Parts: sequence; C-alpha cells; structure tokens
Amino acid sequence: MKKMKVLLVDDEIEFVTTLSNRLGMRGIKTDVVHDGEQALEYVKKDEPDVMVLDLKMPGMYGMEVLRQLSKTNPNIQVVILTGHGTDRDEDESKRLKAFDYLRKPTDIDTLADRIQGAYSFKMESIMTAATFAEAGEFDTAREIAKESESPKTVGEMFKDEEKK
Amino acid sequence: MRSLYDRLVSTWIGSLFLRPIESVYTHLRQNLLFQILVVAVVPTLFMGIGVYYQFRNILEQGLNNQLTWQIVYTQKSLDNFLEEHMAALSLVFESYPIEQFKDQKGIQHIFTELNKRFPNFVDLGLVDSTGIQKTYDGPYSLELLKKNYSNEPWFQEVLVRNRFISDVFLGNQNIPHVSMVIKSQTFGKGEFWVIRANVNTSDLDKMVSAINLGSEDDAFVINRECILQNTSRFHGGILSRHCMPMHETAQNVMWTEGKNAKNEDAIIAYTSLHNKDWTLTFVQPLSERYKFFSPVHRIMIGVMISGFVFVFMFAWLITRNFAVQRRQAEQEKEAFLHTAEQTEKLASIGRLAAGVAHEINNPLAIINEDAGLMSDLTEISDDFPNKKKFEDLLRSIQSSVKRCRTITHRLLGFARQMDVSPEAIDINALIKEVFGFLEREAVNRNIHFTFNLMESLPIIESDRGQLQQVFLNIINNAMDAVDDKGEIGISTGHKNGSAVEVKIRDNGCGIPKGKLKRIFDPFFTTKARDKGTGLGLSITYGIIKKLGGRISADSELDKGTTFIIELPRSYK
Ligand SMILES: Nc1ncnc2c1ncn2[C@@H]1O[C@H](COP(=O)(O)OP(=O)(O)OP(=O)(O)O)[C@@H](O)[C@H]1O
Ligand SMILES: [Mg+2]
Repeated sequence: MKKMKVLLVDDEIEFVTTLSNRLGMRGIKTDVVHDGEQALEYVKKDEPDVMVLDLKMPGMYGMEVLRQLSKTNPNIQVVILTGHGTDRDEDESKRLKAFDYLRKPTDIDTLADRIQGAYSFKMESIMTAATFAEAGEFDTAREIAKESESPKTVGEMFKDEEKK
Repeated sequence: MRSLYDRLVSTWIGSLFLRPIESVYTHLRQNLLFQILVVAVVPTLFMGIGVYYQFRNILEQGLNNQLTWQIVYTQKSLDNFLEEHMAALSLVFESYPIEQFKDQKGIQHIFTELNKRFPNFVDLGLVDSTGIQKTYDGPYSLELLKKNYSNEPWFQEVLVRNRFISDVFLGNQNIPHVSMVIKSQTFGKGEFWVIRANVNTSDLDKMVSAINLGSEDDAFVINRECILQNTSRFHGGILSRHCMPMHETAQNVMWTEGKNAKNEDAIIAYTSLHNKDWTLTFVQPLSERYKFFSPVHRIMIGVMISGFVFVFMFAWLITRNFAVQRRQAEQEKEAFLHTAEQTEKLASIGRLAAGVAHEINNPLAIINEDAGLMSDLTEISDDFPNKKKFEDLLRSIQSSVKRCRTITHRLLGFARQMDVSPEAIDINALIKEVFGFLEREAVNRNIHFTFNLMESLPIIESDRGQLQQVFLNIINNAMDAVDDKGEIGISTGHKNGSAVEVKIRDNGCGIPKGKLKRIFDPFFTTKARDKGTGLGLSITYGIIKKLGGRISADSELDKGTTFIIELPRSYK
C-alpha cells in the first residue's frame, strides 16, 4: 500500500507546527500550509489523501476551500478542525461530504484516529470500485467511484493496481 | 416607647409603598363607577324632571280645559234657566189681554196654564203703576192682596229697566226662590202694569253639580255681595256669606289662586252669568290637584328609580369586567415582560459566551498541543532530574485544558443558532432513547427508574436533537441529585388535550426555595467546580422556549424535585 499523504491547513503557525510534529511522532507524516489559497495550490501539484482543515483563516475561509475541493477533488477526505465552528458550519461541512468535524482543542489521539479512519474510508471505497470493475461491473464501479472520485482518477487507479 | 414609634412609622411607610395591588384595582373601579353614575344619572335626572314638568303642564292644561268646558256648560244652563222663565213670563204677559190679569179668576187661569208648562213658577201677581198688588194667585193669596210695593227696590228698578230678577231668598217652606218682574208699556196718562212671579230655584244645585267635582272640590253661585245663591259643599249653605278674590265680572272663565273654606291653597275658576249679576265659582284645593297627579308621580319615580337601578347594575358589571380585564392584561404583560427579559438575557449572554468561547478555543488548542508535545517528548526521553514531576505537571495542564474545553463547548451549545429542524416525534420513544444513553450509569449506581408513559400520546412535531438534549440535561441533574439507590420517575400525559406533558420526578436533595428561582440562570450551579457548568438548565430553558413549550420546577428540600415540561402539538 502506498504511503498516506496528509495536509494540515491552519493559520495558527505555532499550533499547526506542534500538531504536525506530534502526528509525525505517531507515524503520520504531514505537510503544512497556512491559508486557503496555499492549500488549493498544493492540491493542484500533489493531491493529498486526507486534509485537516481549519475554518476561520485570513483570506479564504476553510468552508470555501472545502466547497471547491468537493467539486475539483472529491476524493480528498477532509477533516474539519476548528475553534469557531457553529452548528450551521457543521451541517454545511457534512453536506459538502467532509469526513468529520472536530472542535479545538481536541485530543491528539482522537485526531490521529480520525485521520486514519478517513484514509481507510477512501481506500475502501476505491477498492470496492476496483473489485466491481474487475468483475466487469463497470457501471456499479463507476457509480461507487463517482461518489468519491472523478472517472479519470478511476482510470489512474486501475493503472496503480496493475503496477502492484 | 421608641421601638413602638419606629414600628408605627415603618408600617405606615410600608403601607405607602406596599399598597396591595388589589386595592389599586378597587380604587380604580370605584372611581370609574362613580364617573359612570354621574355621567348617566345627572342628565337622566335633569331630563326626568324636565319631562315630568312638561307632562304635568300638559295634564294640567287638559284638566283646566275640561273644567273650563264644564263651567261654561253650567253657566249656560244657569243662564238658560233664568232666560227661559223670563221669556215664558213675558210671553204670557203679552199673550193674554190685560183685562184677564185684572180679574182674580182670569189670573188664576193664566197661572194654571203657565204652571203646567213651567212647574218652577210658584205664583203670579199683577201690580199697578202705584205699586199696589191688584190680583194674585199662589200660596200667599190672602197676605199679599192690596200690598203696596212702591217703595221696594225691585219696583224702583223695574221702572227703569222694565225687567228684574231678584237674588235668591227663602220663601214658603224654606224653598229658595227668585222673583221675576216684568213691566208693560206705558199707556196714556203714564199708566202701566207690572207682573211679578216667584220661581223655585232648587234646580240650581242640580245644575251646578254638573261640574265634575273631586272629593275636596266645590262649586257654587254667588252674588255681588258674596251671598251664596245655592247650597255649597264646604263654603256655607244658601244665603251665607263667603267672599272670594275675583273680579267684578268675567265674560270668560277666569283662573286665579286663593284659599278655600278650610284656608288651604286653592285654585279658583269663575265666570259671570249673562242674565244676572251672579258668578259661578269653582274651588279646588291644590292638594286635590296633586291627588290627580299622584299616579303620574308614582310612574315617574318608578321609572327613574328602576332606571337608576339598571344604570347602577350595568355600571357595576362594566366596571367589574373592566377591572378584571385590566388586572389580567397587566398580569399577562408582567408575565410576558418577565419571559421576554429572561429570553433576552439568555440571548445576549449566549452571544457573549459564544464570542468568548470561540476566542479561547484557539489559544487553548495551542496550549493543548504544546503541552501534548512536551509530554510526548518527556515520554520518549531518558530519565532526567524531575522527570516524574514534569510528567505530573503536564498531566495537570492537559486535564485543565480538558475542563476548559468542556466549558467552551457547552457555551457554544448554549449559543447555538437553534434553527429548529422539525420532525414527527414520539416523545415516549425519545425518552426511552435518552434513557438508553444513561442506563449504564443508572445500573452502576443502582438508581431505579420508573416509567409511566401514556400509550395514546399524540405524535408531536418538534426538534429531535434539541429534545434529546433537554431530557438528557434534566435526567442528568436528577441523577446528580439522588443518592445511590435513588428513585427517578418519568411520566407522560396530556395537558389540556393539546399539549404533551412530561414530568420528571426524583427523590433527591431538592432545591431550597430561594434557589429555585435561579436554577434556569446561566452559570448557576451548586455542584463542584469540575462537575457542573451551571449551563444545563439555562440551555434547556432556551430550547423549550424556542420549541414553543413551557418548563417549570417544583421542589421540596430533602424530599425531591419535579420538572414539568409542556410541549405544543406542533412547533410554530
Ligand atoms: N433534580 C434536581 N435536584 C436538585 N437540584 C437540582 C436539580 N436539577 C437542577 N438542580 C440545581 O440546579 C442547578 C443548575 O442546574 P444546571 O443543570 O443548570 O447546572 P448543573 O447541573 O449544575 O451543571 P451542568 O448541567 O452543566 O452539569 C444545579 O447545580 C442544582 O443545584
Ligand atoms: Mg445539569
């Protein structure tokens, strides 16, 4: 299995650096950016599997980032981690298919657990799609894949699977 | 002494400020009642009096008119009586030759004829120009023959006026009479004849009594010298004297005021006869008049009194309703203001709390991560001096952060937008569900739950998540309040048919009277620092309000507490 790629997006540099550090100590390698624009830029170059996203940031808000990702990169699993969230934010992020919604301050183990969870969710859905594809049920595969990925990425996925 | 004075002063001041609300309304009501009565009664009174006098005037006029007619009628018949007899006499005088009058036999025949037609004539006599009675027929035949009348006033007068009617006098057998005298033309040598007849006037009484007399009224005929010409009821018998204040002659009926025989105030009506200088007089004491009006008085007074009674009752009812309504309105207003105040208080505290919570969460997260990193690092480093101490301190920091986190997260819950997402809810099922969350702890602590859930409970439309939170908060509180082996009872039912009512009763420590009022205030708690935030019930209160329901608590110290929640059938 390829290595999990995690991106942390938060404007509190001190917080996010420490967090990255601690996650690293728990075996989760992470990259860090400090605002929404940087996050989208990063995604264009190198799509992460899981993104931990703050909501209130200078410039582009986290919710906006989530909205764009849900259109362009629906296969990225997003975990919201915020100190400002309201119920409405929570509902909205669920509607946009964020994987989870956590409030700061949060327990490091909980967070690590959720990141792992998000990753395995992503993998599982891809696997299911792949299994259906192998069985020749492309329609079902496409349907499942559509839920998390664009068709093009499904194609790449097959290649990946073959290489293995 | 001193303390008594103090007490008096303080009660007096107390009564000034603590004027019981009841008395304010009583006062208001009395004022209103008084005003309505004045407004209603005074004009009615004026109108009543006005109408009464008007009515009385009309009645009096009617009465006077009627009397006038009767008096005129009587006057006419009296005049007729005199006129008729004079005319008969004069006809007889002209119809028979004078020779027949001069003869005693002849005059007897004439009188018999006359008396046949006019039975009131009692005699007939002929007198010559020297005043000597020549012939006569009647009861006094013997005495009157040859009598000389030349010096009698009637003889003198008839010389001038040719005819004469005397006042009434009592003649034979005390029967009232008048004499009527007629003079013939003068023949040669200044010679003439006069006939004289007496007429019984007993009929005058009958004629006068044609006036409709009340029990105190009187009517009679009187001459110029105030001598009565007939017998009156109260003003003396015939030929007695009684003067009345009136004019000499009155062509029409005249009205005036004076005294009657009993010296009472009276109304006097009178009119003169045409054929004789007599006056027909009618006397009515005022008391008799009033007797006539007394039914009118009674009706008027009856109408007025029943009117006033009606007005009073009406005003009494109106003011009572008004006072009651006013008091209700004021109570409602007060209650409304109270809830509005409470809700507003909650809302603003909520906003402030949310702001603070948000701002604190970020630095708290930094502390959390930093401390976390430190403890991660200490964990993996080799032993160093005070390592154990460091670990303890870091654990303490982390647990404090956790405590802060509980508070800020609850505060955020408190400040929730509370957008209600309504769905159909079976309250019984929801309660069971919430109990499910707590069952484990209940079993551990040996707390006994009894459920008394009404089966036919209506399904209501409300917010599931928020109701869960409500019951969770209240049942949690109840579980905190009871000792191990405590009892908690939950029952559901109808209230007024439309709402669902849930009662949650525990046999825990109870809440003292003074604190009962404050339990819904944010941050009010009696629990240890790290046990309670004091937000549970204020959040609950806010939710129930939002959902259009009501919540109240009843408690007795050391006996237990009951929370009562009413929910509407549908969330508006
Ligand atoms: N069933 C009960 N019996 C006795 N006291 C009660 C009961 N319910 C509430 N109270 C009193 O009301 C106070 C306020 O309750 P509330 O739920 O608002 O806060 P809390 O329970 O103290 O804190 P939190 O709910 O955040 O844990 C409690 O501290 C307690 O004193
Ligand atoms: Mg509580």
